[in-house]
Amino acid sequence: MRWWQRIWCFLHNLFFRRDVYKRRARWRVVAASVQGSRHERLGQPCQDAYAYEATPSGALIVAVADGAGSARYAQQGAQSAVQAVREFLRTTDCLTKGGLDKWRAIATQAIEAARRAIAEQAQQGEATVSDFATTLIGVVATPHAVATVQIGDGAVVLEDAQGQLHLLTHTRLGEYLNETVFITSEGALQHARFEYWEGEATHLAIFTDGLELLALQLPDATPYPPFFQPLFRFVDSPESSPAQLEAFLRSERVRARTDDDLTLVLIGREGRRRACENGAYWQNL
Amino acid sequence: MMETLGEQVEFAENPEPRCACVLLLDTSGSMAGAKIDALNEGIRTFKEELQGDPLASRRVEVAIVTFDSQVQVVQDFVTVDVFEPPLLEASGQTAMGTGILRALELVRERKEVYKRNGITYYRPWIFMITDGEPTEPDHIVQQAAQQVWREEKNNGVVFFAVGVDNANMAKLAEISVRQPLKLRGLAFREMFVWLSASMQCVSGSKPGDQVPLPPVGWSEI
Repeated sequence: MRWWQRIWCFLHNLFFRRDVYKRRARWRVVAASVQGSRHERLGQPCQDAYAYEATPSGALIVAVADGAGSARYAQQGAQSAVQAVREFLRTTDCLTKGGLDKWRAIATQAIEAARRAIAEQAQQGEATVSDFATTLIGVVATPHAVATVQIGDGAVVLEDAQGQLHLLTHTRLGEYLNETVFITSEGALQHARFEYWEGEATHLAIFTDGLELLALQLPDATPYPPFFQPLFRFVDSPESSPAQLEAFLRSERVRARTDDDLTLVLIGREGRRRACENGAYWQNL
Repeated sequence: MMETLGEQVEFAENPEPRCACVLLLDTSGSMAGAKIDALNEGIRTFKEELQGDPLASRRVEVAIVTFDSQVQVVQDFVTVDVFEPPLLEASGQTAMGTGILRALELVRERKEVYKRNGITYYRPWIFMITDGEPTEPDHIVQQAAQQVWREEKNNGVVFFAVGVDNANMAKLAEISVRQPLKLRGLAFREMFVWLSASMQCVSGSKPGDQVPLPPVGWSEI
């Protein structure tokens, strides 16, 4: 940047973007869910779902669910789970302080809200809760911490201010690849994994298990940087759109590697100075 | 950006998850003639069907164990893309119990290989086809049945038994935890089409699924 751009940027932020100095985060979210090729073949709908919302206080809430292929109403189960979690977490406005213990208490209630929503649906439709079986990941990101809760598979990967990738949450149960636990399972909460990461996250990726083999290096499930870095650059770009992400998830390259439903929620934080450093910002002036 | 996103993102190189399937086949004398021909044809169909599914052809591993007077591993585990269907011949007695024990052992060994190499995998299948009953001493058959029941209980394996023609279905029901199925006539082709479709379901299945298998259209009711 030239010197006059720096001054402009400083003045601009000072007068129009007070949030930058109040350490309030602004988040860019690009998300997509696509039907897997096997579901296409079997005539099943996409049984993944996601929901997100930024709260007025600057936290971002994300929920991602993967309905069980064998469950009759998996799609509805996944949908109501993510909506219930989003609804619950936005009213609590959690996570300003309190660490893991407080988060555990809040997230447990959020899971229970999702279970209640599914139980109600099951009652109305004269079905059992297991007909709505789904996994669930809930995330709350604030400028100074990221908290997650997970039941079942899928994963959350985070990039810190130094550009390091961290696998925040990921679970594998049992011996076989096709084993997991659902929020509708008996004793689901005992299998819940709660994480609280303190620090400034610059990017987050939340995804369902269909992407695991592409994004994580087994057996340790290490996040694979060449997978995440281009996606994080993509979410930072002002031109990025969900349609582009969807096209990527539907691309032949991806489909050759997995036939499962895929959901990917990408989050980038527009932190201090970010806005002005962006080339597009200057073009748009 | 759109053109480049797909090109920029690189994928982790993980070994493909595996789905082991043992075909445990009766090649005793009674299978000679039309039955063994239909079985050979069926195995070829199995390969062709699986090969049509690129993901399944990399994930499903086939092994063939035959039992007549002797038990033979005709084909150790290979992925479908390199699997060459053998031409089986029929003669001799029916060492079914020993065959089952060998198939279970083969599966256990394979899982060890997977674990050692950090390969994720699905629950293996053993698919037994017979037109008779064991001609071995009872204790061997009992031992085999016990092991099948134990493995099924521990989720170690999925064991299917299919009876052809004059197979002793009552005996098969003692061995297999799952209800044995009776093949309609010589509908081997239909059966192997079903098996390959099932393998495709399993090898691409979602976590935790009670994998919904395609309907069985090849058995008598």
